[in-house]
Order: sequence, then structure tokens, then C-alpha cells
Amino acid sequence: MTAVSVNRAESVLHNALAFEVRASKLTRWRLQAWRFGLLAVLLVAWQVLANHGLDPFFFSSPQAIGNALLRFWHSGALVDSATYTLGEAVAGYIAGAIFAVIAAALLGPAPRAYAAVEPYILAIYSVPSVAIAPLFIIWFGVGVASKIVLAAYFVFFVVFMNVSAGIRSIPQGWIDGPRIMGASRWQVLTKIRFRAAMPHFILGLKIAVPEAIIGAIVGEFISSQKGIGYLILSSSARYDTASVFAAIFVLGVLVLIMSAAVRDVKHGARR
Amino acid sequence: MSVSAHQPVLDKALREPVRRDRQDHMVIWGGRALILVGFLGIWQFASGRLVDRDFISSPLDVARAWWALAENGTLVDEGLHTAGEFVAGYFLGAITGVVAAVLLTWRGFAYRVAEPYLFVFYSLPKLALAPLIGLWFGLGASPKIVLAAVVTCLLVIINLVAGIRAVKPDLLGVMQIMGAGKLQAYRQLIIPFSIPYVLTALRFGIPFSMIAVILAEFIGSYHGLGHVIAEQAAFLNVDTMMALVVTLAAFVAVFRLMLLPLERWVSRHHL
Repeated sequence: MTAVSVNRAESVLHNALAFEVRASKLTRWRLQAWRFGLLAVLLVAWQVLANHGLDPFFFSSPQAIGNALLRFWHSGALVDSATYTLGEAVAGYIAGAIFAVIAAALLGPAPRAYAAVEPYILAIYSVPSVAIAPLFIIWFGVGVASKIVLAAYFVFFVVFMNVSAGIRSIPQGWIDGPRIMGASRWQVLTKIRFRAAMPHFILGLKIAVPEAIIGAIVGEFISSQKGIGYLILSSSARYDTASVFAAIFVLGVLVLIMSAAVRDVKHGARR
Repeated sequence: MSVSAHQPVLDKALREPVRRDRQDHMVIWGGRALILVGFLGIWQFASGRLVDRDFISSPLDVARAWWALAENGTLVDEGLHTAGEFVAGYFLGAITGVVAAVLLTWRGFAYRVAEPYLFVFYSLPKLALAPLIGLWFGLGASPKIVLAAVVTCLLVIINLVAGIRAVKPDLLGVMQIMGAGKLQAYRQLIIPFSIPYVLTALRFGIPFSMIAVILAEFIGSYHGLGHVIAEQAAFLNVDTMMALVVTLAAFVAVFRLMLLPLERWVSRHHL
């Protein structure tokens, strides 16, 4: 009995040590191979199934999606829609982030004011954002403006919550000390509160990237004549499944590009 | 002698923070009431005088519209549709999310193969899938349930996987040495340890899956509060739209409150 468990312990230990040694190079290669292999197998399986049995009307196929992408590219629809949606998302992202920082700068340092406003912010936060989208369309029209506002609205809360949490989490001593030594409120805000809230701000900016794109897309879903969201919706209305997949693929690439851009800006800010 | 001389001062000093707390409390609640009354008052005043009433409606008109919806049964009938879709999608997503996370992490290598795909899929705007899912599942309740489930499922997977990977390797090693199998390790250590992570996902999942349900209702449906909002938007009926938005916010708030006892129970019994 004891012999067995000691043996087992030994083999676990042995495995662990062996794993450490092997872990470095071989595993990394194997990992990459498996990752690409998985993707390739899935794509090939999809294509084969689409050719034999699976209804391409509903599920399309990698080949048809590739063709749709090429078609979008040649007709110029891809670049047009992508820049349109990206423009809405970026404008909304910047506007939302700026308003969020201003609101957090006003409310963060005043604990009582923050406590007074907090339940309303939480109440607005629990309004399903998509539900207000039609109202924004009524207020700001079917053009670019309503999508920018919608994207800004989506971004605002994420950034505001993070920045104000950062501003409020500063120890009181960091503020009292400089104040006693004669720092103005403005100096405390810019030199201490903002600096200390920086990691929270960056986190908020990172989380808000998909939110901005979602805001733009949702606006386009509800009412628009252009953009990736429009492309997705109009293709699905024509039961053109391949184009729907192609447009969603482009959207994914947009999100990745925007995330990468934010990451670069972030690294720039660190330096 | 000296003690009794200091007593009143001491008493006062001890009572002071309590008094100030009470004062703070009054200021905060007064501020809250002032904000609410001021906001509703300005809105009511501005409506029809400063801004066109058709655009921003007014608090009284919204209340009237809400009452009309409640009286003719729309609120209950359509609300039950939306709530049913939400609950079904939320639970379906939560359960599949837990199962998928356990399966994914069962073998460390398999998880590392799947990791980049998981994160890319997680960071994509899932709401963009709404037209595609509508194409596959039609106009009934199922596309709403599926979209809400997809959103919740990914949230749960990402959080639960983070929780599972945060389990201390020492503890796992000890269990292994004592002869515990994988199933036992999951049952007695890994799952209990990561419950707070699941709870975080469940908390954020409530507004997200509600948003998914409403968007799916916008895009194609016969029933649900989202359907009614989209319908009323076509008539520029802002009163009714706002009444419905408020109702949906209350939905989200109520579901959040229902999660509170669970959160309290976990925080009391966890570690």
C-alpha cells in the first residue's frame, strides 16, 4: 500500500522533472504545429462537408467565403465599409474616452459627489445599451453621427468605471502630504491622481476596444446604408451566407488591428 | 480626578466621527434626491419648450406610456417572451461554458493549443453573429437563446479557465501525490477554488446576454420587448420606447439582485 503510493509519488516527480527539461524547445514546436494543424483540419473538414452533404446555403464553405472576400476586395466594398466602420468606431472611442476621463476627474476626487451620483450611473449602466440604440438613431439620424454617439456611449462606461476606480483607490496620504506642502488641487489631479490611475485607464482603454466596434456595428444593424454592419445585415437578408461570413471575418480583423494599435500606443506611453 | 476631567472631551471625540458620518449620509442622500428631482424637472420643463417633444418625450408622457403598456397586457406578454429567452440562453450558456472549460483544461497541452483561438473568438464582437444566427435558426425564440448562450458561454469559459489555471500547482501536486485522480482533483480542489471566477462571469453575463436577446429581437422576431421597441421606432414613438427601455433596465436590475444571495453565500463559505 505504502509502497504503491511512494512509487506513484516518485513517478509524478519523475514526470515533472522530465517535463521541465523537455518543455522548452520541443513543446513550443509541437504547440505551434498542433495549433496550425487544428486550424487546417477544421477548414478542410468544413470544405469537405460543404462539398458532400452540408447545405452550403446555410453553412457556406471556406472556398466560397474566400471568393466573397475577393469579390468585396475587387468591388471596393471591403475597403469602403471597413474604413467607414473603423472611422465611426475610432471617433466614438476617442470621444467616449475623453468624456469618461473628464467625468472621472470631476467626480473621482469628490467622494460625496461620487456617492451621490453612483446609483444613477449604476442604473444607467444596467440599461441594456442596445435597447437605447433606436433612440440614438431618432436623435442623431441614420448617418455617421448616431453610430459615433453609440460607440462613445458603449466606451464611456467602461473607461469611466475603470478611471474613477483608479482615482478613488489612491491612499489619502498621497494627497494630504502634497496638499500640506502647498500643491494646488489641479496639481494633485494631474500629477498624482492621473498618474496613479494610469494602469486602470489603460486597462479600461483595452477593454473598450471591442465595445467601440460593437457600438458602431449595432448602430449599423439598426439603420444604415454603409459599413461592415450593413454589409453583414444586407448579405444575410439576401441569404448570401458566404458574404456574411466574409464580412464577419473582416470585422474580426478590424478588432484585432484596433487592439494592436491601442497596445502600441500604450507601450509608447510607458516609455 | 484627571480621568473624569478628560471624560467629556474623550466622549466628544468618540462621537465626532459618527456625527460626521451621519452628516455625510444626509448630504449624499440629499444630493441623490436633488439630482433625480432636478433631472426630471428640467426634462419635463424642456420638453416642448426648448426641445421638440417628439424627440425627447417627457417624464409624465413616459409614465403614461408605461401605464398604457401595462394595462393592455403588452408589458407582461412581450416581457415574458424576452425574460424566457434571456433565462434559457443565460443558463444554457453558463452550463455549456462550465463543461467546455473543464474539458478544455482537462489536458494542459490541449488547452494551450486552443488558447489563441479561444481568445480571438472571445475578443470578437459576438453580437455581429446575430444576423447569421438568425439565418440558421429563424425568427422564433431559438436564435435569441443561442446568441445569449454564446455570449454567456464565452464569458464563463474565459473566467473559469483563468480560475482553473490560478489553482496553486503545490496543492494539485499534493493531491496527485496522495493518489487523487483527475476527476477527484476537479471535484474537490479545482472547481471549488474557481467558483468566484464563475460568479464574476455570471454577474457580467446578465447585462451581456440581455443585450444579445434584445439585439436578436431587433433583427428579426415576432415577440419580445426588443421587437416592440423596434416596431415603435418605426413610428417615432419615443414615449413607448423610453418606457420599454426603463422596463428592460429594471429587468437587468432584478436579475442582478437575484444573484446577490448566491454571491453572499459564496463569499461567506469560500476559503
